Amino acid sequence: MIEKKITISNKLGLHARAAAKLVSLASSFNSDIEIKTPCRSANGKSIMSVMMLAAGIGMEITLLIDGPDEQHACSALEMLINQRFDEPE
Amino acid sequence: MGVALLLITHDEIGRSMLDTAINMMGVSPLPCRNLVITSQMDIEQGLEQALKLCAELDNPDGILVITDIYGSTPSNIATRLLESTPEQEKVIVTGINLPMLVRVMNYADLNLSELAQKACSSASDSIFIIDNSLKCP
Repeated sequence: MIEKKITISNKLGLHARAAAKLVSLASSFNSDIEIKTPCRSANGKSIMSVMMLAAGIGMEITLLIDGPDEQHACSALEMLINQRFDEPE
Repeated sequence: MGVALLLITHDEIGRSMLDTAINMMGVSPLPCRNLVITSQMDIEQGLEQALKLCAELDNPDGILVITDIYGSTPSNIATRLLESTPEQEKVIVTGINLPMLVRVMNYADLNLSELAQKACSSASDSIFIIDNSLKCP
């Protein structure tokens, strides 16, 4: 299992479209993907679950990835989040 | 092929929510149609249009029909639709809301029965009062 801490850096945070991109990417991997904030955790493949995190800009989230493609999944998700979900700010 | 989605709602409720859900998801992962029921429309007119939309969808994996208020004309049209075409598998869910549509699109690979249950689960999971307990320090 991989545990990776990442800070949300896009202005709108983990809003609907960002969550949809994250969930779509997470769902392309076989590994189990959990996303945690200091208060709650979410199934990374469930958009409503991810949106319940209400993770805004500056919040540190933790990815917990467990499975055969965990390395690939971690790299891909990290890149998506650090590139601000391809949003301009 | 997957399940198809048919919305039957008052006026533009369904179209507006469908457009928003698709905009959020980027693309609709399942075939969708929307039927606008105006106050001038009667059940027979609505049923005729619903039958045409179902024929367009023509989905062997079934159609998830989502409507708004049970007992209203859109809901009654959906019920008549179910009775009219027993050979085409359908499940009707009432109480359309945006989290429901987003959830359905998120789980588009499920079979009709499972997808209908996922749609219903939005009622308990996504309708709540926002209070301070939701805030993360």
